Amino acid sequence: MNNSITLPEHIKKFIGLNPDEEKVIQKVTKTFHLRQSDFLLRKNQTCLSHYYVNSGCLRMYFLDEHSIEHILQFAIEGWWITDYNSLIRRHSSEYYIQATEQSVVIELDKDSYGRLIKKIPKLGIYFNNIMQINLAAVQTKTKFLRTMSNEELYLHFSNSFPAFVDRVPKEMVESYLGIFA
Amino acid sequence: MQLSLDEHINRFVPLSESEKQILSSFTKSQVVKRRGILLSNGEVSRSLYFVEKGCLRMYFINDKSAEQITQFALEGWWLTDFFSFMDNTPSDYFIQTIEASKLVSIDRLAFDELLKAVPKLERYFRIIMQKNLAASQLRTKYLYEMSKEEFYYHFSSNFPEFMQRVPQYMVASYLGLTPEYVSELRKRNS
Repeated sequence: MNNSITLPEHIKKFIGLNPDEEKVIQKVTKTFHLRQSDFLLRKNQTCLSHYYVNSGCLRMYFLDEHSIEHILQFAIEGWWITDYNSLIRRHSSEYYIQATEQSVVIELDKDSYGRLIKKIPKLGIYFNNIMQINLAAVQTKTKFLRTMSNEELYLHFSNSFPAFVDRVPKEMVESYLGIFA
Repeated sequence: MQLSLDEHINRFVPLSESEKQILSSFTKSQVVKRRGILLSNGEVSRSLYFVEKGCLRMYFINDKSAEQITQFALEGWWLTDFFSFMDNTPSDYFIQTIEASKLVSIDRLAFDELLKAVPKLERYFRIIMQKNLAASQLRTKYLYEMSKEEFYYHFSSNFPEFMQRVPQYMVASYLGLTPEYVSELRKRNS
């Protein structure tokens, strides 16, 4: 059984939250129960929201000119994911965000984000920490991609994240690592 | 070209005089000469750097003992090893100036305190980090989509001044090409 981390639980790892504040958060967010393969975002839609994974797993990928899937990122419990370019510039996305297993996802749209921070300013600290974590993950991934051969990459990844490799089909891990047979 | 931190913040969030004072009590300004080391492999990354003038590179030594550059930062960009910065663990990276640089740094422990003292800055850093994440998503997409040569041409046509400022062998390292090959691509291009 996989873990589930509710958004208030996750926020409380970084800052305090009282029950009223938890209610405010619940009011501005939407909860989605996704089945495996359900989409949150498709290519050419505009990405208007940040997504938080309560339980389950999402992948963000694009199709290249040969229709091969390249997975940019995964998000499991406690992770946030979005297409930042589409979100910031409000232009259409090149990506798909899809559930790889049954998932419970919290949606926080861009406008609600602004209102939420006004109501609960200390959430700014939470979100800044989240983005730094995200940036750290990007830096780590970049480092792996530059250092290793395909075999080393796969081995290192599966040794570091064995539970994850069990949850996600091998082809998806390979796509994420940029390994193509 | 020089971009003070105050100017940069002002583009996104206006700060009052007293807020600017508070900010400056949390930050440190420094001038670092060319090839100055800001972070070494094995150290904890204690600072988040803003480039007011100059250029930084972030790299690690791969198992073939070659320097592998993963990122650059020019005027207006923030840089650190985020993993080390957040987790207080030793970094795998070096951060070094490529040219004489004027920097502003924030200490890792001070960062959350700064956001508490000047809550407006939340918006500034959120925008900065979103842009940073957007850029890295785009960069990763290009790396997946393009051949290394295509990536070189894309990079040099979009950032011509950058190509002038950064030594060729560093561009090569960043793109995963040999310096000789970059030299050849440069000749083909002109």
